[in-house]
Amino acid sequence: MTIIECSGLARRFRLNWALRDCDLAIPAGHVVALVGPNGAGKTTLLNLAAGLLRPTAGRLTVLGGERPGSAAARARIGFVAQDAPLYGHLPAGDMLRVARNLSVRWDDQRARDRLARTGVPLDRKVSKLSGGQRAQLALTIALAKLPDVLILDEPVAALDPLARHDLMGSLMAAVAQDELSVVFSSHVVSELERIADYLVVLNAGRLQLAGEVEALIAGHRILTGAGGEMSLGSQRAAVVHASTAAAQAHLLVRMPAGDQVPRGWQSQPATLEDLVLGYLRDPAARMLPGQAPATAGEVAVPA
Amino acid sequence: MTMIAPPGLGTGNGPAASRVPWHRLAWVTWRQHRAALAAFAVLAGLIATAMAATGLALHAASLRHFSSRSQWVLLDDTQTLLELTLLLLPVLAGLFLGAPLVARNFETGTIRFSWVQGANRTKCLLAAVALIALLLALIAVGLGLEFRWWATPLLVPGWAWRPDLFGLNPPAFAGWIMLGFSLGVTAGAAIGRTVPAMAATFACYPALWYQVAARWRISELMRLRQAGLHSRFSALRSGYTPFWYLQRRVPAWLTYNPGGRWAEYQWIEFGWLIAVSALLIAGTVILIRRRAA
Repeated sequence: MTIIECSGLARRFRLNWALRDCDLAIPAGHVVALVGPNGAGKTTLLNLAAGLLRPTAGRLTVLGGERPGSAAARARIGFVAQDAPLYGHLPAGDMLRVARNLSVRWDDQRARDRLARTGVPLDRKVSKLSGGQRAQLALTIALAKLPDVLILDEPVAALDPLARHDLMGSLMAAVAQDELSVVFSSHVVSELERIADYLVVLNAGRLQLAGEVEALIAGHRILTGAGGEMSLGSQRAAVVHASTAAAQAHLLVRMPAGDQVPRGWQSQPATLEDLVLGYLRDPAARMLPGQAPATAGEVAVPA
Repeated sequence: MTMIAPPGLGTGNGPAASRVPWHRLAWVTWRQHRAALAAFAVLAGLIATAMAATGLALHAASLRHFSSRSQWVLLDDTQTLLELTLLLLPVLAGLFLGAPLVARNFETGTIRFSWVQGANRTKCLLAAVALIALLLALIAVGLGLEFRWWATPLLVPGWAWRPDLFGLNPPAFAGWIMLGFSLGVTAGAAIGRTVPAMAATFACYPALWYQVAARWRISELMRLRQAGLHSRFSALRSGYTPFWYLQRRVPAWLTYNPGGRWAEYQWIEFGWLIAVSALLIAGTVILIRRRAA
């Protein structure tokens, strides 16, 4: 089952295209990181999946064919929007009761246990909670709905490192306990590797990269050398991004495992951060399932 | 583990069949808006108390005993203040209960919370509108009935037909409260910001009220039929009472509306106001169904 599937998806806000030509199929059972710079279209894509927006063009389904925003989709998706919007004038305990009364499924005991564990006082108004406590409350509400899929829009953007670590830790615990699928957006790339096992990179409203993290890392290398002409071993190989530093050229190369490293170049494994940054720095580069690499074969690298 | 509903995880069809019951949505509305509703109820209570205190005095001493000029001035001032407050009440309902209902959710972003929960956005809106409208209607009917009682000692022929006071009687008053509230809700959904929505409500309501009070009521309510003198005069344009004509044996053709049709006109006005309110709410539903969060 796919949790989000779209084809030709586009969304325009007045004259600006926030998302264009988006073809994507995210399978269930993953923790999916949706990465991109500010304004890349991450929030637009997630709001479309949550049914808060309608596409300008194309189609999008969730949970294996459900219409976003339909009763079934709302019941089975836990969505936490950017900045975790909650009713600020209510105490946290009453916020829980409001969410419970708005939900089809709800596990109250678990929600209360979770809040006690994370130190969110039930009698304090939501507006008086710290950023971390507020994010924990929003996550607790989303989890108490017993969702099949959790969609989180920039859950850690406004949090300090400690709160960020705690939130991600409790998210991972919930994922392990419930076998949830999770989609979260982030522009913080440093911690993705230990959290996400599926990566989607969006840049300037277009999809650049999508796939399982393990396969993506295995399919990319960092090559370091003096520069000049370089012949890549196969047609499936491509230079994603090239940079020069200290008289050395550094390349992020899409290179299937087993391909020969070109002569004169040193190879090392790419990290997830290398991958994300490499693709984001070159918006023309794409690696999407079923598409040919953007550049292949003979390439000239600046010395 | 406490479950409200069976989980049906991963099946995809279990939860779709379940719906969030209306009474749970009503509780959510009450919890979110109870402070504003309580403030409105306190205001209505103050008006009711003032009306009761002055009304009891009025009823105890009939108008004949209002001999001194100062007593008349006091009565006049009280009446003016009371009428003005009651006329303003529907606008206040629109400003403080109607306009923020949807607009505040847009402003604070909580629309992105409430619209992704179990109940759909139309149902959430209708539950909130229905509960608040019901409470407002109860307040309006109570105050309207009390105003009728209050004004009984002042009864001069035709007072209840006065275009400015006609709408303060139930059920028309309940209709006006509904209209004020609905206008606020629609303005809030259309504009998406509370203060501008309040300003729009404040500007539109008096215009609508004027259309009805100063135009419709004068032309329709008092739609005067050619008729001879009639002892059950209730609507007068000139201020001359039938008694005045009878006394002077003046043969005159006057136009009038029989007093018995007062209730009929009340229901006509109420019906129109409810219909317009319902249209406004229907428009709001269309707006929020189309609107992006």
